[in-house]
Order: sequence, then C-alpha cells, then structure tokens
Amino acid sequence: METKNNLKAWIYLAPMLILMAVFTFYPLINAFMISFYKDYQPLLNLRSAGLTLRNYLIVFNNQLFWKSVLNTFVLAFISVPVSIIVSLFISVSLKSIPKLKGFFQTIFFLPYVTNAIAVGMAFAVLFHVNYGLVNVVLSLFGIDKIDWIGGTASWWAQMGALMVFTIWNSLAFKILVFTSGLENIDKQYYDAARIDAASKWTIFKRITVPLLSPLILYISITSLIGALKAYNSVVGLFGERLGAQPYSMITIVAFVYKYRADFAFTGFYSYAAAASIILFIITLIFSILQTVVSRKRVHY
Amino acid sequence: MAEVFVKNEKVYKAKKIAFNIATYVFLAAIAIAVLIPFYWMLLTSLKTEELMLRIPPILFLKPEDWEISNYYKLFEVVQSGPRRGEPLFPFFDYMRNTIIVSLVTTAGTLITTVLSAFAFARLNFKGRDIMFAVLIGTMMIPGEIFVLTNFLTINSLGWYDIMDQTFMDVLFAMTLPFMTSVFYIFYLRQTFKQIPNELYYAAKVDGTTDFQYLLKIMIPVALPTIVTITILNSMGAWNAYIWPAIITTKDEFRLVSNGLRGAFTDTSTGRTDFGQQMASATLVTLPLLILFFTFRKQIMRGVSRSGIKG
Amino acid sequence: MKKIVVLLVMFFLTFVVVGCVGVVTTTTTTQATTTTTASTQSTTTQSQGTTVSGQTTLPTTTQPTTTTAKVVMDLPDDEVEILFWHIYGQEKSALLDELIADFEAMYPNVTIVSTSQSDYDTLREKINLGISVGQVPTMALGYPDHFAAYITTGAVQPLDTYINSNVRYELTDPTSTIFDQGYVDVALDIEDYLPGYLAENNQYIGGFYYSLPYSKSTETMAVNRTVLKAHVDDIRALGITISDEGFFSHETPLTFEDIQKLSTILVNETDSTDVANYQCAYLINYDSPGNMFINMSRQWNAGYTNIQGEILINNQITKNMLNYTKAMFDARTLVLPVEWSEGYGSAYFMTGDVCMTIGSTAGVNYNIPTGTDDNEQFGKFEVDFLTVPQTVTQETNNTAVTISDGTNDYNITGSLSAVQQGPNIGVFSNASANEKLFAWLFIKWLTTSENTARWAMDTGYLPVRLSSYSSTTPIELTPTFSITYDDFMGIAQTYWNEEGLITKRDISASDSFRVSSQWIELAADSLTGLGSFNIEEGEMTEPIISKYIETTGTTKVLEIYNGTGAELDLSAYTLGLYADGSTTPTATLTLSGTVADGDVFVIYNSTDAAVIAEGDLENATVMAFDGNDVLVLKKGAAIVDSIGQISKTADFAKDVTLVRFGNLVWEPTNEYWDYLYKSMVANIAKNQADYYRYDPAFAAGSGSAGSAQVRVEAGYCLENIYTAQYTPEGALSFMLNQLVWG
Repeated sequence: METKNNLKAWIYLAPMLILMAVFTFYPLINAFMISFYKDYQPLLNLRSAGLTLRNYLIVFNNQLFWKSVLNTFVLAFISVPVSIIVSLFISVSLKSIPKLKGFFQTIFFLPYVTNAIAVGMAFAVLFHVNYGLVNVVLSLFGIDKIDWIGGTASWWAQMGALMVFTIWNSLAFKILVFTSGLENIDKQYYDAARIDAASKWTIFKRITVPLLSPLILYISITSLIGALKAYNSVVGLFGERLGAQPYSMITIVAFVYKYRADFAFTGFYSYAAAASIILFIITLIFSILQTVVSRKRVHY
Repeated sequence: MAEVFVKNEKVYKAKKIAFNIATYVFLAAIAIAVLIPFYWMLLTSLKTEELMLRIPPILFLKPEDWEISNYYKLFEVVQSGPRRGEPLFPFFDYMRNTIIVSLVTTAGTLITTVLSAFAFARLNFKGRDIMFAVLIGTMMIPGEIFVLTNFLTINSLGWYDIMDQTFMDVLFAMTLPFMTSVFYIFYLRQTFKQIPNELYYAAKVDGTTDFQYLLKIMIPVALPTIVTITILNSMGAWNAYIWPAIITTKDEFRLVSNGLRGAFTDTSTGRTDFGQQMASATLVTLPLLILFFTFRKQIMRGVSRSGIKG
Repeated sequence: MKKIVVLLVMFFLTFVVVGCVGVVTTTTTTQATTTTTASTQSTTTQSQGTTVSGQTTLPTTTQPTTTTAKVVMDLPDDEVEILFWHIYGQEKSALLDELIADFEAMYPNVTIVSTSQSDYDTLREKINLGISVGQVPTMALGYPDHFAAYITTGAVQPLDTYINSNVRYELTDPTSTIFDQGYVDVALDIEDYLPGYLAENNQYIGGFYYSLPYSKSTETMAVNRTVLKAHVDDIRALGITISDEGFFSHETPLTFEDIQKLSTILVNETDSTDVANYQCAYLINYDSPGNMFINMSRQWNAGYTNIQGEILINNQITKNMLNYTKAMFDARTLVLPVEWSEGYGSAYFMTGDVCMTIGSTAGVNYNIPTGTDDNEQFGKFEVDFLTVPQTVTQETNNTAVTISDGTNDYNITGSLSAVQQGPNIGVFSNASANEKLFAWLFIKWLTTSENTARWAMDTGYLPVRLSSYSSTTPIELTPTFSITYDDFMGIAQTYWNEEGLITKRDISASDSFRVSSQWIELAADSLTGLGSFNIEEGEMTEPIISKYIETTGTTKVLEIYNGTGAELDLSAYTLGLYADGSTTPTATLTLSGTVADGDVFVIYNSTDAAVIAEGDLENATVMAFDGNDVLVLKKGAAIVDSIGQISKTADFAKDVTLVRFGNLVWEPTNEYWDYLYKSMVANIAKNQADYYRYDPAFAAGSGSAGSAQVRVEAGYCLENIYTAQYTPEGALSFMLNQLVWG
C-alpha cells in the first residue's frame, strides 16, 4: 500500500507542482542566486561578474535594515497572538449567542471587502490627534490626547496605531476560519461536559481549543509568516513616508521593496534579494520553533 | 429539594442572560469597530472635493448634500475630440476582465488545492513532510521579488507583446502564476486531516478508490472550507494590481484595481479626487458583497455529520 | 543515442553563449555608431550642456547661423505605428488626443497609439522590464532620473542626429493636411527652447540630447495679501519694499533675511492664528522638502551631487545650511507638511494657519480660498504669487556674504537658484528608422510654439519655447474664449499694474460683475440697522443685497443697497425666489421705485410696525423664503447678486439676520479673469527663468544611490530635522548612510 501511494501521491501533486515549479520555485531559486551576484544588471542580463557576499554586508550595514527588523518583530510577535486570542473569543462568543449570529458574521466579514485605501483613510481619521475617535474616547477617561500618527507621534504611539490597524485587518479571515471550525466540533462533547457541570472556561480549555487545534496551528503559522511580511498596513496607515517621521515604521518587506523598485540600477536587485533571504531565514526559524512546540498540542 | 432546584435555576437563568448581554455588547463593540472604515468609504464617496478637505472632517452628511455625481461621473463618456463616445473610465471592461480572471484563477486554484491537500492529508508517501515544509517555505518570501523572473518567463512564453498582445495572452499571464496557493492547501489539509481515519478504512474495505473517496466523501464533508476558499480566492483578483499593471499593455485588458488606481489622480499636482475613487471602490465591492451573501450559509455551516455514525 | 544528446547539448550551449555575447556586443556597437555621428554637431548647443551651475540670461530667439545645404528626399509613406506611453488620466488625455489626431491628419500613414500607464512608477517599471526583454514603446514621457537609468543600457535614442539634420522631406500624400506646405524639415531650431530646459536634457553621457523638454513647471510662493496689507507700515519700517495694497515685487525676490524680518511681525507668539491682528501660526509652508534641500544647497553653493553621480553632501556648508534651516523651523518661519501629516500644506494656507506657501506652479488653484469654508479664518483673502525666496540678491550673486539665523553667522558665496521640474519626452532606440523619424516629427509637433503654449495654459505647466511668449496666434481655451500667450501673460501684469484695484480699469461692455464679500450673522430676529447700511466699498455699478432677515416668526426682510454713486431706478431689476431646491424661479417680483446713492431699499413681508415703518415695498410671494430658499437679484437676464446656492435644499439661513460685511470688491467675472492666477504664475515662472537650475540625473553606482533616491532622502533629512527625530548632523549622517555604502 505504501509504494503504490508514492506514484499516486505525486500524480495528485503534479498540477500544483508544475505550476509552482515555473512560477514559484524557479523565481525563488533565482532570487537566492541573485543575492550572491556581483553587479547584477537585470536590464542587460549581466550576471557574469561573479559571486560575492557583499550584498549581505551592505544590507547589514544599513541602519534602516535594523530599524526594520525591530519594527517587524515587535509588530509580528505582539499582533499575531493578540489577534488570534481576540478572534477566538469573538468566534466562541458568536457561537454562544442565540440570535443574530448571521448578522454579526456578515459584519465581521466586511474588512475583506473594504477597499484598502478607504481603510487607511478611515484609520488616519480615527487616530487623528485632535478630532480622532480614539482620543475622544480616551479623554472620557481623563487621558490626555496622544499624537498617534502626526508629525510629533512617538514610536510607541505609531506602533500602537499600526498594531490596531493590523489586528483589525486580520480579524475577518481568522473569525471565518474559527467559526467554521467551531461548527465542526461534535455537539456530543459539549453535552457531555454540561452533564459534568464543567465551567465555561474548562469547556473552552479542554474541549474547544484542542478540537480546534489543527486550525489554530494553521492560523498561527500562516499569520506569523504574514505578519513578518507586513508592508501594506504600513503604507496604508502612513503612506509612502513609512511612518509619522520618515521610515519610523519601516518593516523588512518595505526595506526590500525600496531596493527592488530601483532594480534597473546595477546591483540593487541583489540587495533586495539578500534582504528577502534574510527574512526567509528568520521566518523559517520561527516557523520551525512553532511547529516543534505545537507538536504535542495539536490533535487531529 | 425542589426549592433548591428552583433557586439554582433562577440564578442560572439570570447568569445566562447577563452573560448573553455581555457577549452581545462585546460583539456589538467589535462590529462597530469593523464597520467604521466601511462607513467611511461610503461617506467619502458622497462628498464633494471641497468637503473632503475640511478639518475637522465631516462625519455625517445629510442626503441633500450627497454628491451622487461622484457615481454617475464614473460612467461618463468622452465629450469631444477623437475619442468621443468612448467611456471616460472603461468601468465595465475592467469589471468584465476581473470577473473572467477571477473565475479562471479560482477554478484552477480549486483543482490544485483539493488534489494537493488530499495528497498531504490522506496519502502516505516518501518525502511528504519535507515537501510540505518546502511549500510552507515558499510563503516566506515577499511576492514582489518574483515579479522580475515571472515577467521574463511570461515574455519567453510569448504572452507579453508590447504591440500585439491578445486577450488570451493576458488571460494566461494573469491566471497561471496564481493557480496555486499554499495558504489554501494548508487550510484544506488541516480540514481534511480532521476527517476520521475510520471513515477511510471503512471505505477502503468497501472497495472505494482513493479518488472516489475524495470525490464522494471528503469534498462534501469539507465543503464549507472549500466554499470559503472559493470565495476568498475570487476576491484576490479584485485587489491584485502590481502584476496586472505590469503584464497588460492595453487599457482594455486591465483589471479593476489597477485600471482605476491612478485614474483619479491629477499627475501634475499629485492630488487625488478621493470622492470618485471611493465611489469606484464602493461599486467595485458590490459584487463581492453579493457573492458573500449568496454563499454565506454554506460557509458558516458546520461539517456535515451525516456520514459518521458509531 | 548518447552522442546525439551530447551534440544537442553542445549546440544549445554554444547558442546560449553566442546569444549572451551577442547581447553585450550589440549594445556597445549601437553606442559606437552614435559617437561617430555626434562629431558633426554644431557648437552652439554644446556649450550650454556642460555648465552645471548654469546661470544664463534669457536670450532672444536668433536665426541659426549654419545654413547647410538640404538633402531632399521623399517622405516615407509606409504604414507606421507608434506607441507612446504617458501617465495622463482621461482629462489631460483630451488635449493630447487632439494633438495626436491633428498629427495623424498631417501624416496619414502614421498611427499613434497612446496609452496611459497610470503613474510614473508603473511607467518606469514597465519600461525597465521592457528593456530587459527588448520590448519598449516607441516613445515615452519620463523624468531625467528615469532616463538616466534607461540610458545606461543604451535603450534611448540620442536625438542630435535629428536636431542637426539637413534632411528635407517632400510631402507625397495629397490627403495630408499640410500637403500645401510641400515639405517638412527634420532639423529643430533648438535655440528657441529655454536654455535651462535644454541643459537638463543633454546632461547625460556624451552630452547627447536623450530627450526634449515637454511639460515643465517650477515653484512659486503664494502669499496672503490681505494679511500683508494690514502690516504695510510695519513692513516698510523693516526696510522691505511693499505697495499700499500689499504687493511685493514680482521680479526681485525676497531674501531669507527679509523673510526672517517678516516673521517677527507676521508670526503669532503662540502657534495659532490670530485673525484680529492678522498673524499666522507659521510664516511659510514649503510643500516639497526635497526641493527645499536641493534649492537651498544650490543657493549656498554647498555641493549636492554632480553628473558623475558623486554624493557631495558631506561638507561643512551643507551642515551650516541645515542649522540655518533648523533655526527657521524653530522660529516657525518655515513649516513642512509633515507637521500635519499631510502631503501638501496648501489647505493650511487657505485656512490661514500659514501666511505663505511655496509649491509647484502646476497646483495654483489649490491655494485660492473659496470663501465658503468656515475653517478659512481669514475668509476669502486676496492671493498674490511671488518668486521663491533667495539667499542672495542680484547684486550679491556669486559674491561672499555673511548671513545670520539669529544666533550664528555664516560666511557663504551664494547664488540665485530656482527649481525646474517636469517630465521630458524621449524616443527609444529599439524602434525602426521610420518609427523613430515619425516619433521625432511628433515631438516637434508637440513642442511647436503654439502647441506648447496651449498645453501650458491648459495644464498649468510652462511653455518650453521662448517664442511662445511673443506668439501672436490666439489659442482657444474654451469655446468662447481665445487669447494669445502674450495677452495671457498680460492678465496678471494688468492686475499688478492696477494694484489689484481693477475697478480702475476700463470696463468693457462684455464684462459682468459680481460682489465679493461675506455675510456676518446677527442674533435671530434682530432688526438692528434696518433701513441703513454702512460699509467701506469700492465703486459699484449695480446694487447689492445688503441685509437678509429670516425670523422665527412671519417677518421676512430683504434690503438692497445702492452704492453706484447716483440714484438708481429699480424698475429694471427683478427679484426671484428659488424655493426648496428649484432650479427655476418659483416666484418673481419686478421691483419698482428708486433708491438714492448710499441708501437702501427695504422689501418686506411683515405685520411688525417697526418693519413697516422702514419698508419701501411690501410683497408676499417672493418674500416667503424660509431658510433654504435662494434669492436672486437680476437685471434683465444678468445676475446681479444672490444669496444661497441654486438647487441645494439644505437650510443655510434659517432664523437668522445676515448683514454684508468686509471690504466690498467689485469683481469682473468674464473668462479673462478666470485665468488671473494662472497668468500670475506664468509671469513668476518667467521672471525666475534666469536662474533655473536642474538637478543632475544619474543612475546608481555600485556604492552610491541614484539621483531620485538622493532627492527623496534629502526631503526626509529635512523632515527628520523638523520633527526633531535627528539633529541636523545626525540627519545628514543618516542620509549619507542611505546614499553611500561600501
């Protein structure tokens, strides 16, 4: 049964593999090689000048790169857990309410269909220092108004606003996946728990989470990968300046794109490629960590 | 004894109601937060250019002040000159292109995703886990890095021609690179893996082939996930703009988001007419909303339990 | 079998190797051929190309001195298709499409396919990608930075062969609209182009013209003349020349020293606008920090970049310049849009938060207040346009001077400098000979004296030819209005000569006038001052509505004021009511009676005795407005005055008493004056043209950035200093870290 499966499996995978070989694997390997080329000029296909590590050195010597690493890490490692927890809560809450389930589900799906520019504009207004809703609400609690995204915004305030924006954007998909997954859980488990008079928290911890664990793993891995690639959210909230002050919220991908945009210049594509390979390695390390840690906790 | 029961029940019911109210309040708060940008998009699409520059921004517009012209101006026709009669913004062309690309891409994605997820979830083969890890790895590189190489590939396949590009060329160029998605393969694989092994063994005993098992049992059971993937993937075509902008040479081949992207920006001053831009954005999202509403029940439905007894 | 495979592989490998070598050698050979033809160039144009600090006076057009014999050939009549890439949205496209249609009629065998690529970044990216696969358009727009990159790959056609060509083509197609002309010369009278623009286009390797100027702009400073007029005496006390109406000189620029002095009287102590004392929170907004850095560098002769792509900013003069600028930031003399997280500061000029703003000449209309926005603290103030401030004067140009920022003194040798911006147009070398020929003829057509003037007037850019300024061909701007460029320049000149008090100009029969002023609101139901009207006014030729009273009760009053200088017979006037959004009058009243000069005529509908006592004419049909109805005073068919906006149904004046206030200005409204501000800006651009300096454009090297990135980082450097993210030294060092490596 095992050997028969080998050929069969590869046949099932063939359509995907062929397409990916041409449009994903090949460019990926290309990018990896380009990160080592010396004086690569894509417009003239000049790549014969030899290999070098200089591209990586240039990336490491750029102050902006380290800034982008810091920003990306802070953003990813806080926003991902928070958004997963929040969306889990929302999904569980949705499941427990007797009425209006469909109504709320539809509303929570809206971020997916809202135009990205509109979202950026709306948040820019929400976080405005003088008339933004956020500061208005804060003032009700007696807190002074904070400049979130204006010229005098501190790094913390900007990161806070960016965090809220990122979490907002990511909720729709997570809620969709979790609510669909929650429907999947056999009612029998819940009934049994209720007979045992288990508390809501116990039910959540001992039944819901473990039975939802495959999806939680999926969401946490893909969200972390996605969060480490943050770019659209920064441009959406802050524009091309990438921050309230120039580059203050730059992320690794924004750094990559900065050099990639100038690919017509000799060597620039290599800098972008080098930075993306560094990002790849970082992401790989954390994804492996996640997988190892979760091995015992995921039940199929 | 009976009194104890009654007292507990009243407390129990009160707690339940309080809990429900708290939940509703919580959900309502999130719902408002979610609605705000959507509302903003609608609101901006109804403002005149002048009102938009107001500081503090206007938060509410009475119907009398609605600038509906932002919407019907989208369908205006060139008044004079050599292109008289042509639409100012080829809105319908863009929408048509987007829908076609979306359908083709989604069809292709579904096929590759279902087949691949099945292989990873159900079949045991050498190199399975390594292959899966490699696929996850491909998600870790930012997409724009691929653009140059893919462009060269498309060009050598003959689908990019600066003078004579045909719609079929464009269709291939815009769909093929996006007919696979590790993101969705992973998702479906997790769902497939949750279908109990007993079901598979039982089917095997009955003599079902793997492919029949996939078609007759796994797909129906995982239908909500598959429908979700279908809808979300279709939406991808609406937002994609970098690749369509690069690979199309003629305006009539453009997709909605890159066709309308620079359309409302005055290149000499760099300023954008946000009212019209938001109006076009609103119109563009309407089909997506309709799509979602139609299939909502399918997405929200849980996995069918009918096949699993005992 | 194996042998065949080996043979095939070797064949394939040799093919690949030959192919690669072929690519490299062909690019070098095309460059070789162009160098040989370059040697036959005439010398007049070369000298301008080499100066980086070009300061040339605006020469008058001269006839070319070389008269080489013409080589006559028949114009090729093969079908030719030209692909032209630009970035104009549908609206700008209209004029371009017309010009294309005209050209296609002149050359019936040519089809021009013009495609918009939505924005410059996409355009640049697609052309770059196209170069890598040999698929580029025939011609395209681009900034010098873009062309610098294309040129390194040999993709751009040098135009010198065409400019200096002695070929004359005979027209052979009788269906051509210029067939009667007989022939067309390939050569171009390049001396007619502004020298500054030309220098920008042949700054590249070898000194060839790789593009020609097409759509140029510069910067101008818009000023709040109402505020200035209020401080005329104080300004004169500082030693700065200003007219009684608040006009500074339009030829002699203000210096930064002047600016610092003005700051002491025009900038408020607290960072908010003080309307009563005519003081702003900030003096000058500078929209483009990148331009500010570059222009100040050039004014200080600080060393910025050069054609070879060297980054020269790491010097003491630049550091001094940054410290000087920081002092102006601290004093709120200068402000950047990053203060409000915006891209442009013009909105804050209109609201009165800044008194002056420096921005592109293409964005004129964004600086003119509307008068209808409550946030406009100075209301609909007067706007004037000036040249950008300079560090030195015409007299001290290129001499050693000492300047101060209030704390430190700096010794510099300064120069006059103003930026020159806008895309140019070029042809790609990949195209066939015929395609390139007709692309060239198309460029010639786009930049003829009339067409460049027309493009300029329509778009807010500037004409690229000197002869445009003295052109006598009327250019049609709207179906009812044509004007020559010379007269167009004259609109602003007339206005300035008249000190803005255009009532003194001869009124022509075709002029119509409207009142420009505002309303102030008194308490609801107030009848204060009913029956009289005191206001400072200019001369009027028609009456105005001076008061509007809509009470909470049934009383309605409308007061008409006569300031024409003579008694007025009102029977020629009608008052129309447009109720509830109607676009046609729902009730009309023909006025009767007379009103003396300086007196008011009161129309009313009321049972209140106080009102009846002052009233001159009672009416119930028109005087039935209730707060969302529009009233229009007409003489015959011409609108004399109105209150409210026709077709709007919102309540705008309910339960309120409104009185006209402000310095009543009688403004002519014919189309001529619609172009006033564009004309002002065109004059300013011309006055600065002597010292236009272009930005060297170069591609990135292996250890330094390209010119486009330098400009972006320069802007960020100033923003970092402004937001105190870095000290001037720190910001400069961060900028260097981004621009120079390895």
